[in-house]
Amino acid sequence: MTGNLPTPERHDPLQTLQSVARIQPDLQVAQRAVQRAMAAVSRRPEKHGFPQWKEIVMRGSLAAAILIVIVSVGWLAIGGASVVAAPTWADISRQTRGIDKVYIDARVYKGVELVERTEIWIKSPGIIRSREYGMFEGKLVPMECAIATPNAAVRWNERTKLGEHTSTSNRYMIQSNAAGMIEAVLGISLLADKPQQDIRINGEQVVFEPVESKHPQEPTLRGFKLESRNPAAPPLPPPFASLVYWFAEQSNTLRRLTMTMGEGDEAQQSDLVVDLKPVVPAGWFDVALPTDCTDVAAGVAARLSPEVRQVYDQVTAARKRFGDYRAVIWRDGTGGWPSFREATRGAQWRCDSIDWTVMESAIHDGNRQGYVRISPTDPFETLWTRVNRADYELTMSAMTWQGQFAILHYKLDGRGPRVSAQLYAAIKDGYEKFFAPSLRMTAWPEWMWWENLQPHGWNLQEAPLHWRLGPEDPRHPERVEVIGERQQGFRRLIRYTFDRSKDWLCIRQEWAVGSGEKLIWETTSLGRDADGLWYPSKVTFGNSHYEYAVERGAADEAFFEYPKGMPQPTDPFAQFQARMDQAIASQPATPATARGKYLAVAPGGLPRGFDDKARLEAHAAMVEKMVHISHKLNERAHRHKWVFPEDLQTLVDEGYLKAEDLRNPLHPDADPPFGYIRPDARLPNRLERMVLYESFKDWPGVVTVVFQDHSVEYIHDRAQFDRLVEEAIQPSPPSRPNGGCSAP
Amino acid sequence: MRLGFPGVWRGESLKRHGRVAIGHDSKVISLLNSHGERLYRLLVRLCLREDVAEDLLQDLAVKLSQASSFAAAQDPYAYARKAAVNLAFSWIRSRQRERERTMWLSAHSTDEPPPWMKLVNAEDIRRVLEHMESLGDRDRLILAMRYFEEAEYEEIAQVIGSTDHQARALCHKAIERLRKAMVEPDPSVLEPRTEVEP
Repeated sequence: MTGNLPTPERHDPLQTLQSVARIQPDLQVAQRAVQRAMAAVSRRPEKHGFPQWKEIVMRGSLAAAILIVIVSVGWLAIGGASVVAAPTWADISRQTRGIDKVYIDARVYKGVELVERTEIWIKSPGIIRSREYGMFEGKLVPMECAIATPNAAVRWNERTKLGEHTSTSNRYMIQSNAAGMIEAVLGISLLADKPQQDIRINGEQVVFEPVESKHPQEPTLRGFKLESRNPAAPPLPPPFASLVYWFAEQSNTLRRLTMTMGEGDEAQQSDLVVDLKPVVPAGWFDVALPTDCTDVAAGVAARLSPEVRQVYDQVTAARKRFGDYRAVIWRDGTGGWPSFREATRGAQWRCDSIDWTVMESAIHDGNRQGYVRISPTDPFETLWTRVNRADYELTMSAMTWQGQFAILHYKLDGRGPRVSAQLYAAIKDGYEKFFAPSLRMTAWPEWMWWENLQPHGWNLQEAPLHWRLGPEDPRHPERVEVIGERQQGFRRLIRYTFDRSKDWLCIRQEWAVGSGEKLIWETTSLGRDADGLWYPSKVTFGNSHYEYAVERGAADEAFFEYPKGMPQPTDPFAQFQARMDQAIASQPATPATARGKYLAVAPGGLPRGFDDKARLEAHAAMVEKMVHISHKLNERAHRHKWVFPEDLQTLVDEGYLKAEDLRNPLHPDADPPFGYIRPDARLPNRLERMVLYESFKDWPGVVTVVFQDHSVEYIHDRAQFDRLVEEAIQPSPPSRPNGGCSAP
Repeated sequence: MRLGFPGVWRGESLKRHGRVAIGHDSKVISLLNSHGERLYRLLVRLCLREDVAEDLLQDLAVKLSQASSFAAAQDPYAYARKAAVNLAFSWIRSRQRERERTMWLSAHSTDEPPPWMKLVNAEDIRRVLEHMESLGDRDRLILAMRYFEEAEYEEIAQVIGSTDHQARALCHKAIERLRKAMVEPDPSVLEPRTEVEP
């Protein structure tokens, strides 16, 4: 029968838009989303992995504040000869010698409201214990705790009673010098016997002035406020507004520190109570989990009931029998292009999502690259060779790297050649969905797999699941169901169905979240290798269907190497660690003042290698200006039918910029002040093309460039820079970088 | 005895911890406390997916906490709303470009759609959203505010710096442009794309 198909009814957009108001998400779900967003702010990973130690010992902004005070005062010591005019300081010096333990109870107030609290115990040499309070059900309650030494550490959560032993590699620096921390807190170095006349912080001469006001809690204390001799340069950098030391009048013992941070409505007052003779229970500084805490790093197995443990052991044994594997995975919508490649090699695992759209477009453009469609029925070696072609672009990778899980983003928001990386201590909530089709997650899900990602695999704030066997299915006696449940948390129910007749493969998974939504995936077809071992060959996730080509045997070692061109966030940290060791070992190398002597970051480490603070600030100002100019270029182009100005001076002439905006803070004598490549809005992939770059005569080793999407990159390689210049105006789309640039 | 903190620690720590900016994070927390649910609802309406909206709200919080311009924003909610709309449309764009990921994710809510899903024609809204993505930033923001956030014209006028009447007219024009784009996606009928912060 032939005939016209009915045209689907389409509503007027206004009518459709008016219907949007009917979308009313559940209030509880919304509240949970907001809470998680708040948590994301407080626990976001730092760039370059630099202050990772803070995540273990002290997470909050208060901790950072304490640290700054400690370090700032430490500067006084580094600053060399210094003394305070008040004779009190010498007395204090004598009284505070020989102290080996310090306790600090730090509270942050906003107005009169207590908003943050952290307790810290420091023991010389090299042990720090912390307890950080968090807001829970409207109250500040003890949450994250840690004990850290240079060699070992534990962390746990007081509320959930979950904890783990954790690595200290590349994580600690200050902890290795707890004696120094005590000294810094107390200002002992400041009070050294020899005369000290010149106290400097960041190069600025400072003094301690007695304050007339009394401490609100202890009026008998005497306060000395840190002041700068240079009114234009405050003694502490923003957001610190003031720092006052408070001493007991009779004993001259340091009792409190008061910090003010921020201004106006955002002002916060921190009150640090210092106890120089803390009494602590025996074993207080032992690196051990409290007895009432569950060690999550031990994995889920230790917490299972005997009958559930039996299933767990059977599944684990079956997984070991299957051994290493390589797999190529297709999703039905990809029309023959593979979606994932995955492999294991012992404890190593890696899964990459492949950007098949690149291949599809290559076909349409004439397929000069020679892309061919591959299917699960092709010989596996052909498939593996194909998916390991260098030009098979990746969008994201999940892998084990240096004992942890790394998530690497090659393309953020699909916007092209930006290399970026985020290294997580483990795969956090939300990332599992991107790699759920991997065999690791489907066939052998490792029982709430994110619970088993050792080490550091557990968000200690999340309650664990309680596992039990599900009911038997009389129609399928070969199936075994295991259910994990919890009262709180995002995923409250996990239901695995294993098939004991098929090598204990997981053939069905069901995840439920608090709002009642469910995600189900089912294995609809199984494959069998030459040894008769089973593996899934087809899996259905809701409306999506995945196909698998699986080959037993390990992938090459090279497959598990850290991808070239991707920043390694721990590198600068490791370099930092080495530098600190070096600095401690050779004190004379420490500069007399901080100004002008900041150590450069080693080549290949952090993007910039400036060797003094002024230069660092000038660079930051230059980047800010370049981004501003980039925005103004767009604004001007928008008003001129997307024709960009011939030069930057036009922007000044037409009032888009001030003359000052074209002054390069880093290169004040540069002419022109910034390199400008006039964009052509008609060219494809316009936003991926360079528009501004840092002026230079001789190649300086690294150059700051700005693209038309206003993003900033640092180019370390002259050839790459030249290519970017060339590609900025070439008719064809720009290429993708193969390393050499780093995200700022 | 002296401390042995190397220079990089002194310089970088202050740079970084200065960035931690006690007041800055609390500004985000404060915003989420007061407007978090509103932002979440806006994101759900734009994405038609509660799980995505939740992810985007987290992304938004992190971005705001890192954005110096947010710290200086006079109206933090207006800033956050604009950033949320941009994030949502960025997601819509990437979803179009990365069908691979989308189709997998679309399975997430197939079994038990949220109750509101029965009250709307999700396909229609999705189609409108995809065409809204091709509008200019101002049109997009106006439509998002008016229909996805149910804002009054007065509030829209404040945000775009116009009178109430102008805001109403601009809204109607935006709908006209949307209609044209949906009937005949000719780039010439579209307002030129502008790059705006955030």
